[in-house]
Amino acid sequence: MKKYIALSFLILLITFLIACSLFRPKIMVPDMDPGFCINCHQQVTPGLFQSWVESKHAKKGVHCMTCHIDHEFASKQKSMVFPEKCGECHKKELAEFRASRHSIGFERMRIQGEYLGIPQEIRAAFCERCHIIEKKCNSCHTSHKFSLKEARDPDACGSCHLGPDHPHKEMYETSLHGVIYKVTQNPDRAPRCVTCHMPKGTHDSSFGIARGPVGTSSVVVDLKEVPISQEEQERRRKEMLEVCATCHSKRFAREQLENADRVKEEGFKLLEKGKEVIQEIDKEGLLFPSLLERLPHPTEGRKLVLADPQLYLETSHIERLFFTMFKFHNIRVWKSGYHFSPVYTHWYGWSEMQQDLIDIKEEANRLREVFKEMKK
Amino acid sequence: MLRKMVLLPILFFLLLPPCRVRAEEKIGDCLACHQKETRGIFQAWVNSKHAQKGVDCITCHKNHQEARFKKSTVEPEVCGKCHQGKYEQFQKGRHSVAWDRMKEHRQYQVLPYHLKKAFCERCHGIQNRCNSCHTSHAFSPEEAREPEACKKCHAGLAGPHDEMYASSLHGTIYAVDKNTVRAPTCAACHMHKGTHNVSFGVVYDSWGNPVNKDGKPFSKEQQEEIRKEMIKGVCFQCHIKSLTLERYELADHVKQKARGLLDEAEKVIRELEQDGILPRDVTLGKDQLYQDTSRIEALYYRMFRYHNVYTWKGAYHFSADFAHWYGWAHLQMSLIEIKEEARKLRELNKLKKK
Repeated sequence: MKKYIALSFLILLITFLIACSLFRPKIMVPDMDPGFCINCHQQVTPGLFQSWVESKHAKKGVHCMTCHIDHEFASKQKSMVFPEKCGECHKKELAEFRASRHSIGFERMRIQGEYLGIPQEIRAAFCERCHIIEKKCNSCHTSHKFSLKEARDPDACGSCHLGPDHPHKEMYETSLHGVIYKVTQNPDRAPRCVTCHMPKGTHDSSFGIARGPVGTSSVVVDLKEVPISQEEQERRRKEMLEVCATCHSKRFAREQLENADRVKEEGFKLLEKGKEVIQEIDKEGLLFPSLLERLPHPTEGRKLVLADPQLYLETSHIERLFFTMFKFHNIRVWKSGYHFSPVYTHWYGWSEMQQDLIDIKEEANRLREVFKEMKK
Repeated sequence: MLRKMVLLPILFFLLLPPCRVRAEEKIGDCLACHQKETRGIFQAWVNSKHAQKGVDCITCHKNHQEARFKKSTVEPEVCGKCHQGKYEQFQKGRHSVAWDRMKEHRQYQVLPYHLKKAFCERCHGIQNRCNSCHTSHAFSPEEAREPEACKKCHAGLAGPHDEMYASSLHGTIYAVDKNTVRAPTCAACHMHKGTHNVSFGVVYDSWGNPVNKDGKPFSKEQQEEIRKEMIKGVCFQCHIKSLTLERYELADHVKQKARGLLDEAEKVIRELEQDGILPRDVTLGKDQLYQDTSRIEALYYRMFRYHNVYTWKGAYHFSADFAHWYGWAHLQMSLIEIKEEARKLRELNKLKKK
């Protein structure tokens, strides 16, 4: 009996000690008050401090420690504050964000062949800068002002959604929507990015996207990469049509979106023509370096990968020509179709695709002519 | 008395010509015509700080004859008489050697006269023109501080600094907020506290070499010193030390890796030289021309002059889009093309010999 008493006493002691050690870090918190941070940071990082002063956070008493906890913790995390932390107050926004493709930005990037093909020490300067959105609310409403006005501006989206692989910013700017907004700066006259993709302030930026979402594939998938049903696609389209209906008749808007569906199909059809030429060249053994001579694809292994997840490095030249066709030009064709930018869908997209196809066919002819002897 | 009577009129006539010139120099004389003939210039001057402080046409242009002869150019030395500090700072930066460097460059030398004027000289004239940035006749510091003012030269294929900045978070925030407390402009980093030495905190020249404005290499210590200037003066306004240093090191890595791809491409071309397929010692890189070369050299030109610049400068300007998609991805794709071109050249050479 004495043994049991001693044992339970020991267990109690251990539990108490563990509890003490667990709660100790929290005991440190009362040592800190915002004055402690501000004392230094007002001078050390005055810009950051001033931004916070101008923010709604400052007015509502949300200060350094509310988000960064304490100096040691902030140091360790290099001042990062994760969406979960923001979600403690902005619960609805976090839940919506979690339903959007933004919330898997980093995860998806990490399994992409292109990402794996980039030397590790420089990945942070490229892909990670944008895909980090999964872990940073301040990708859009930047530190330390966290301004709604800023996050709603098309320029805020434009710092990631631009350039060769998905010129959303450029498409929008060359559409009538973008032009009218630029001139009037009035979101009641013409939509901004958020008007269509985050209507009524939802943080589910995948709202209403029925024909996407990852630009290089014609299949529509959900967050878990499962193709979505026809019914679900129709539901999403109807969702979006509600936005269009603010200014357009639904019949007209549907007609425009369905026309873009056809444009998308034509783009992917043209892509197939390019693929066929290259598959033929592969069969004839004219790819250089051949699939055996090069490093295997990081996710697909030793096989001919045309279109997503094709790489832009260490392939044959004819494949590289196809890379430009699918990654840069086909995306412009169909996404600009939905964004109503004729110059992007036609000239930067469709006409470029047609010229890529000419280049691919000509390259195939040259390979056959010059390397006759290599032919199987 | 008689002497006096003779001397006085002589003296009077001797003094007359300069007086007449001075009469011509009166501001009213300029304005009488220029108010009507060049209304825009006049109005810009009226609204300028110069007008408020009594700096008028003659202060800078001297007189009508001289202004005409120089096509109204006013050299930095003239501005420097009042703006001495700024002038001295300007002389320390790379802007002050832009014209000289242009003249030495082979690409400039081979261009026809009229093309030189329409192309290179429009921007490189900055060496001799303060009004490249604060344009005539408003000479507004506010205008010169806007990223747009830098854009007219620092944009486009060979140096898309404006596009890099605009697609960085810095540029995005400034575009929305127009508040330099929130995000830096070009001038906030490169002309810190209003210095006119635009090479403040910049280690590399346009070609990516760590040299000063006269082409003299910086020592490792000097490079560090220059970087420290930028980091301490500018970045620390908003960013913590560890993160800032990390970002710079990252950009250093990017620059180095891009150089690696260039070297790989150069090796392919040099091997063709050794095998007698290309002539010996073709120029690659800095002094290379974009004309009258073989196609494989032209492919290298684009790699070196465009994609490499987008990669490393994009990294230092924190534009992922430029560093990666316009830069690195295109470097890789050009390398594929160079290797393929080399292979075809070899094969064709073999066939020719048969």
